[in-house]
Amino acid sequence: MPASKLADAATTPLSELRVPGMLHVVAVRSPVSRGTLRGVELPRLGKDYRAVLASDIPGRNEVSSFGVAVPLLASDRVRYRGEAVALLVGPDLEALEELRDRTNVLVDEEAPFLDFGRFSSDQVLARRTLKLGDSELAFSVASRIVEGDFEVGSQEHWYAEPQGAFAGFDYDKLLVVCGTQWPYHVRDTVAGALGVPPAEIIVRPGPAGPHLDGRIWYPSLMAAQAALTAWLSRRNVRFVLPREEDFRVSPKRARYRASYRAALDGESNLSALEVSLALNVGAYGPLAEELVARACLGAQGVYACPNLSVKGYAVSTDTPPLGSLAGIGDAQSNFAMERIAERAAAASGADPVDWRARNLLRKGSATPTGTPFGQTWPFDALSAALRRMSDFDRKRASYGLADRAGGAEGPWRGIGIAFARQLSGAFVGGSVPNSYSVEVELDKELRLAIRSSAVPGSASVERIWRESAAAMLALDPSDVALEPPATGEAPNSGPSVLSRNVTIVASLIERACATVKRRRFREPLPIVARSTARVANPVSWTAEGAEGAPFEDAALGGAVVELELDAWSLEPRATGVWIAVAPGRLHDERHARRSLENAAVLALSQCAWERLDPSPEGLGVDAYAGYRLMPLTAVPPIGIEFILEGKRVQARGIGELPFDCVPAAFANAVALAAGIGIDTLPVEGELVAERIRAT
Amino acid sequence: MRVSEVFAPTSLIETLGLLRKHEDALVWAGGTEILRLRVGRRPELPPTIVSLDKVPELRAIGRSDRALDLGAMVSLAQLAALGEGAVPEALAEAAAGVGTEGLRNLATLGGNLLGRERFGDLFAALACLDAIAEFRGASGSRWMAVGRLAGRDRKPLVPTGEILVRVRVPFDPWDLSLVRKIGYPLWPAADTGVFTCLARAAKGSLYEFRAALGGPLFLRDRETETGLIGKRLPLQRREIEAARQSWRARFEEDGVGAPWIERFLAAVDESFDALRAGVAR
Amino acid sequence: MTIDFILDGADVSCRARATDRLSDVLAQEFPEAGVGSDCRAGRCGRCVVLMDGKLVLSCLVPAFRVRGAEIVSPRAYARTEEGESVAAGFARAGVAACEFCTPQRVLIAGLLLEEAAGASERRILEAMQTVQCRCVEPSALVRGVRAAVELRSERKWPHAR
Repeated sequence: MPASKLADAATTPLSELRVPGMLHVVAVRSPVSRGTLRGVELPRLGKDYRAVLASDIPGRNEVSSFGVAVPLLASDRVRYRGEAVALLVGPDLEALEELRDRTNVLVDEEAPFLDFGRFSSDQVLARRTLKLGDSELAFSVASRIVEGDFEVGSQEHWYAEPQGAFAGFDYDKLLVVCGTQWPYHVRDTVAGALGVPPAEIIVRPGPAGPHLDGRIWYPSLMAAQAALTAWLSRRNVRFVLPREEDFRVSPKRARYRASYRAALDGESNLSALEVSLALNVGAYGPLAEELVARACLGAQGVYACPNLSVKGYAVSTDTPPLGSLAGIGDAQSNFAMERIAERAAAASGADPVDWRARNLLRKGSATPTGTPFGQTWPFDALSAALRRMSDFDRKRASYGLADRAGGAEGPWRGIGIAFARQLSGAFVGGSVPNSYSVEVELDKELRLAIRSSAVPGSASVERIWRESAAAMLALDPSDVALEPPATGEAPNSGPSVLSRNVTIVASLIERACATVKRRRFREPLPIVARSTARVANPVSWTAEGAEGAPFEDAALGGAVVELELDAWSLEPRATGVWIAVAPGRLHDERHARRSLENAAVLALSQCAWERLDPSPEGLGVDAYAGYRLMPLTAVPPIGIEFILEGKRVQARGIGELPFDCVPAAFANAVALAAGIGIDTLPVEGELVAERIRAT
Repeated sequence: MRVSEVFAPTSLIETLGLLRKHEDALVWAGGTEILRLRVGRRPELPPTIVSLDKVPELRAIGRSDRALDLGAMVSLAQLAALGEGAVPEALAEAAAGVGTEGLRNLATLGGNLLGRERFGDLFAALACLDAIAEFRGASGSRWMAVGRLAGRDRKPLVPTGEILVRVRVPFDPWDLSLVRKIGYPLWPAADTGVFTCLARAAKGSLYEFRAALGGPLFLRDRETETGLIGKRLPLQRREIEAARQSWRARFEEDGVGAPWIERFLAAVDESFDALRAGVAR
Repeated sequence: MTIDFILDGADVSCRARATDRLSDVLAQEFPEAGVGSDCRAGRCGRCVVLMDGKLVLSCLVPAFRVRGAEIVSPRAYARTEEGESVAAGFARAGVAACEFCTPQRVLIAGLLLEEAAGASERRILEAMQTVQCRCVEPSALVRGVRAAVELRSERKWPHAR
């Protein structure tokens, strides 16, 4: 039966998608973390059931992302506990689960690499180096040296719906539906797996809810697995992971470790940084290059540093692939640098905001690539807004040790500040071509269609696109339609990574509309216009460093977090959060405000509540049952202010900024309240309490 | 997959008969802990289940001047909603704090009281309130103090072969009634529990003091509590410190780990602060 | 076993194992009700339904408890006058929750409206905690419920000042 009845695929949750005669899929997975796969012992399968192994794949057994190939099904080696080695497909899901339970995966097990604290060069999937000036010399003449070792743990996306895909036949094409940030990647992966031209595959992104960057490449793997089973069984197929299985095997946030040394000159300004950082990217590490590139570029945060030595490693371990979560490596580095900035300010007896202001990246200072910074960030206005909103100066003077020394009653309080920048949305790893396209068509009835494979991600973003297009062409927004993004109909817009939609895609829509406007009264309708963007000065890497201007149009943001330590358990609880950002052009203030507020809530949840402990056994039932999101009742009031800079053509991406600066501000606040340094995220309440009691 | 056989008796007598006949039967009250901890589409369950939801005697709520009787199958939501004055505040507060609303409408008093792996959120409050529980078995009915449902090892001691019928909670006036959730509030885990402290003053002295914490273990020490009785209020620093040391020593003796001792003492400090502040509720 | 119950106002019947979760039964046998069976651990709230008038996590309800019960799905609730009123309140407050959790949140908000003397912010958030979804900030949920209360009052007393 043709699957063309799935016209509403874009709005139906995958778990509710039903097509008569549809088959289901379960994955048979490796029970061990590392070894040689000897075979899969299948039980007797009934008439309507079949198994798909790597040897059955007609095309390429891989999903290739950012230059890295991840097998769709393990064929000779297994690289992590939970790696798929076979697929079982059939009409009854429970029967499939029972068949899976009776399937044996035969692996000659080997000792796994699970720790990335010490690693060999074999485990390094990507390395990046940044060098500016002469850091050795700067350290040798430094007035002060500030050091720290930092660790940022892993978290789970907890999407609204677990990962999955539907694959079915739409006349002569294969239709794939899945919640993805990158429909073209799904198409190319599926086509490659089936060994067919990409034009044979139509991908319709289904609803995914907030993706938090957890759906960049993994949906392509699931889609290809679903497509394989559909192709080989000649039936429509739906493959959705149960939530606990998704928790165990789908990518989580990459773990991070870094050692920092900062040299301060005679005026206590930052004169040099030496950073060695490592990211645990799990098995295969598809985002390894991007992660380590961004972590390195972010190592100095928002500060100017004339002498820089950064070494970054993306380290493979035998765990499920780890990657992005609300950003790709920037937040982790920014946490470390903001803790260093706090220490540097304290060591030099300076006000924490003043120290930051003195050391801020200014127009003309060298960025980590050596390219001079072309902007003037409105730091003074932004920091003043934060200070005012939060009453930072007064509270800082009276909280913490001052609180306790003065014999104040009640819980110990702290307040902390941190700043961050969000890059423009282009990839910086060097392996992804940063080229995006959008097409618009104004028809004879003066209705405008926008075609893009970008996934809006929310009704608000969709509305922003339609309204800005309508405004450009003096149309009513109801006459502007965003055609459901589908490959085959829409030009490639690259992966829809957090905030990119508002920046790159929105400006492409406007440029295409500007072309239509110019041609409108000179040419007959319909008029089709396409706009393509290529990133100016893209980042490229050599063994010695990077070239390019990734900081162009980077947005500045800051956060203040106020908290108190529970009077009796001593666990830190946020009592107020304030965010200020300089967004460039603001398409829709209400939408921006809400995004920032929601991001701040998620960032707080990450830094104080959510933890995934590394375990040799992988993420078991205990980890799943114990994973804690921040209770809504624990969310403090959140204040937000925008620092507007007059008319700008370009809007800046700002949605990641809370993730970049709230955790650092939280840790700085705990340090003030508790009088102890916090260099690990998430901040463990009980550990803080233990350390306080010990002092 | 093995399929369980489910019995749904409609009287206590029938229930007891079934339990005699099927000694290994799983007794299903609200069932929330049973299903919550068995993640997956096909929860593995024993072959025989006895469901209590159709036994009317277990749903009764009764009241006298001196006590409140709550059937074992009364839901936590019902308990929390009984209204001010109709149920001791500590108990209502403990019940209202369990999980989320969708859970409280299913979870029962009996299920909460008789957890096998850990003490439910209501346990500490019921123990401090001197609640007693009626069990019925082959040899008839007996009452026992809720506190005796914790063994010497401080772990749950759930009677077998008997059905919890009801819990009787005395109405006593308390000057201090404090309930404190420890750890993550939304569901139980190895580091979560509920602390309860009740205190009463008379003629300027501490007349009654009870402090207990229910979680993976049950922490309470009557001797330490007794040591505080009769002391003039406000309690002196050294008296509080002596009590803290006494609790610490008793719990350490019983092998309670440091984290739980610290949590108990932190909650007790809050109670003493509240007493000092003269906080009645 | 065969279970007969009332779903969204209609008498229904289906076969299920005694210990199947109600959420799985609904998702499998009555997908049009739109009840999810997701975490199966009583956490995410995708499975909430009204059971005999009370909000329950249907992943914690075994099929053997469902006989004769009256189940109302969030989707059906959204089509009632109350549900539409709540949805209108959410829209008025600009609450932009995702399609995965909006029906459940509308149901929970609707139950809150019944509470006498209006619900406090804490009470609203406690109730909304039944659903764990990252799509919307808590302050929006509070605004949404308050707007729904206001709208309901306007509809009830259209001439009131």
